[in-house]
Amino acid sequence: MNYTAALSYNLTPFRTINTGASREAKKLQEKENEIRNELAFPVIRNHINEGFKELLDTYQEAMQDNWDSYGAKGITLSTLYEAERFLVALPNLIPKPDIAVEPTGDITFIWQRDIDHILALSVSGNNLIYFAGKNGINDKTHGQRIFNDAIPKFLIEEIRQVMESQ
Amino acid sequence: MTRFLNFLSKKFGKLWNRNKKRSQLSDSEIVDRFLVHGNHINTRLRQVSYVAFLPGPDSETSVFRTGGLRIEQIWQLAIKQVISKRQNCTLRGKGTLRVDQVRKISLDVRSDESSHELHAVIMKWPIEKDKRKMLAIDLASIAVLTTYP
Repeated sequence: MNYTAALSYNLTPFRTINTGASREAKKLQEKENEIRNELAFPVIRNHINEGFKELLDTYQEAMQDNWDSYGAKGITLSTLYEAERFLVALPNLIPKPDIAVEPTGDITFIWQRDIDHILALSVSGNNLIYFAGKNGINDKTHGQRIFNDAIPKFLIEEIRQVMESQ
Repeated sequence: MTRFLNFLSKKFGKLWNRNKKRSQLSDSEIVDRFLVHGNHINTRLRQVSYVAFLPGPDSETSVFRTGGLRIEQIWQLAIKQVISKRQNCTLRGKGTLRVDQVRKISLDVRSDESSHELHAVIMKWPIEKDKRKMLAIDLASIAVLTTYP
């Protein structure tokens, strides 16, 4: 179910008691809880709207080459579109990231609790997510994953862990 | 002939060694990255953002050797060597690192006097974007931020 479809529901059509006992029924119950949680916090979606605005501001500021005065590359339109798709793919309950640009023109989404808890995910218009971060001094992670309009679950989990105390 | 060569060696050897010494950075030397974009500072955490340390298209990060300079001299250096040479550029602060901290994470710093005698570059960045990001995050976590007044 995509976000628009989910929005077209309100919370009442869901039954509050699950009478099914099968594995499938349990799975459905879990899915229902997931959707309920998502829809129960519409205010979080505002973070995403704010994110879009910030994204556009960032694009306007760094669309030209050398935007950082150190010879950085400008953001391309394909990178901007991919960053928008990334924002849409973020689950509602994830806190709003800081948005920044890298000297390669990649757009990066940063979740940072403090100096030792940070996760940065960037996109560059080639359907890949590049990530790096640390959750404590010695717990470091980095790599790249394919982005096909869905953010890999383990990255969502990493974000949650980094921002845990918030 | 040998005597002549010895004479030359004594005469110019010291000069050569002095220059060589100056071009090598010792572990205890201090370098500053001048921060010239809003992107470069995390104002909420009062910390240098990792983005500030990522290398440019030449795969190097420009820094200046500022050990022994007074703070006013450092700001003057930044204005003269970075700000005045670029358009629409505002000095926002500096991120200070000690050379051994940089070397500890497998990067290196070398002198690059092509533009200024105190100019240097952080080098040996890996090619992979995620690895670069990780190292830049490491640098940002040890850098000391000083904002421009």
